[in-house]
Amino acid sequence: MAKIIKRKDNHLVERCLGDSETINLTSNGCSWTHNGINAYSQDLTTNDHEIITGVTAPTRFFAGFFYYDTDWSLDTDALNEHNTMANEVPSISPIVAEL
Amino acid sequence: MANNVKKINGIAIADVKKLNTIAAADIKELNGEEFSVSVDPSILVSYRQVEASGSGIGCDTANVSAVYDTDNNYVVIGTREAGGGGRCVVGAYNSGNNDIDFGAEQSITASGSVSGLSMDYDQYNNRLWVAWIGGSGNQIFARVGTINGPVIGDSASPLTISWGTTLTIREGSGTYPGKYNQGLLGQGLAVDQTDGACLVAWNPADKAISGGAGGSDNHPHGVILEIADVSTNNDLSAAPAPSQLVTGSSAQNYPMIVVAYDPDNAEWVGITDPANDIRALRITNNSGTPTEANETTLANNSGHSLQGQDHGATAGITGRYGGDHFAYDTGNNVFHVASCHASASEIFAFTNSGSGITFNEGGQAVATGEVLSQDGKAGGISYHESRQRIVVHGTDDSSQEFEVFTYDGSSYTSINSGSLVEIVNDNDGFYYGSSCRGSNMDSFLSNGHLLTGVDYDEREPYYCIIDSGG
Repeated sequence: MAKIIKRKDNHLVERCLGDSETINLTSNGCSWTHNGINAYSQDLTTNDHEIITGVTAPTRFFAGFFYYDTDWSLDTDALNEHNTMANEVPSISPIVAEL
Repeated sequence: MANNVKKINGIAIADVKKLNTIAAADIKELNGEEFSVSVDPSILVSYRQVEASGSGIGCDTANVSAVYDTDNNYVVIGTREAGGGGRCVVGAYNSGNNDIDFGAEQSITASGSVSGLSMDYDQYNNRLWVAWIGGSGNQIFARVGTINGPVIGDSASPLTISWGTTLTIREGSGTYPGKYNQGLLGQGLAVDQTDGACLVAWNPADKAISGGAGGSDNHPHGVILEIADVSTNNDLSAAPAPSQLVTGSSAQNYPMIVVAYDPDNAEWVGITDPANDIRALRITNNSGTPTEANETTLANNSGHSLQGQDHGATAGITGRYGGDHFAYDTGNNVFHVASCHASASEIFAFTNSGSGITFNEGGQAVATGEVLSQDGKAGGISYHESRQRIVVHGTDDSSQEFEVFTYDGSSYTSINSGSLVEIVNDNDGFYYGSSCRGSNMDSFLSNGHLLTGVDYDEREPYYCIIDSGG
């Protein structure tokens, strides 16, 4: 299982962590630990974001392309657009994301 | 006679750090003999993975950008995140274990695909500038932060960054279908250190970059950004429309540009390659609009280019995918640029007088960095300010090594072409690199010069600190 940090307004998932990993989401920012690494973002706050626990993680998560309301969805249009660009434009890496 | 003194009480001169509390570098004579200490190029902090709070971090396939915070005496290393987003880590040198102690990851952006991450330290406003291409729609963004440390920012929260609001410089493929922001290449951002204005240079999505060679708009553009009110926060003023920075018909599908600040003329300088060549240009601030002038071609060296035709170079020092592509030499007030060439890559110097660009057509062959690939395998060129030496690193497809040069204003001398210093014995190591350009890092680590990059096998950011000797 996993826990996620997502936007309240459009359900965009910004972080997908293991269920046992820690998140401290406050009105001033968010700190978390993922794969043993401590991280902080001042952009993730309780004003705009919420934590959902007990979620089954997608097969291959990539922040910014997945949404979660009561179930997962993947913005395949944006993903395909990005990977078309990555194939054409040097120095831009393709994204691997899978529900 | 210099260097007549080889030992003192049986200790080799190179190992003598102080004599009666006087640093060896400050001793000019010893018993009437002229005395100087010569130090060979070496590794001070060995090749190792960038960490956050003691744990190694990853970054996927993307460039690594690094700057030196001259206020807090920190280094900042920024990368893409493998699972989306981008972040920095801020580090302080720990003399106890000869390593850098990094703080927790400081998110730049929590999501989206980040590429071309470019950073510079603003010594006028005491801020960190960052630009990148990302989001879910290929936008280009910029952001400014205060690095919190003992001198600037919140000293109670060292090794952290307080960011302003992220600015969208230009929309991407969502607004311009089938066209892309691209060509932000690590050295795509430079701060005017006299007023804190920041130039960002890239190929905008709405300028037909995918329109093919010869397209009338197929040129690098730029914008000048400013902090709206530095006394209140780190937010940026709205970005103006990008201005074209390179003229003439382009033979390249993907012309490149990278920029740097010229402190002697208080303006920017860029290098570009519209005709599969090497050109330098001045970029001035015309009431907030970047304006190019004196676009000058390295004329008498056939076969030398920045990236080859349509980024196709397979031999060279940096190519499109390398670390820093050119470096400012504060000792000679010249720039040094690295070339690609099928058989004999070189470095060339050019001078900006403030009214014109002049190339020194006499290049210097390099002994390392001869293997490139479109996957990003490339080295970099940088200037070690305290030693006043030029450093080139790259791979021979067996190991990653660095070579050191001096420049006397007219010609180069290689210090160690016959004894290159190995960074790592790996045919796939240390690409997409960067260095702390334009700053004397002696306060961080005496004679230190930071090199960063991606370990290509592991897709993890690595670094080392070298002494280019002297």
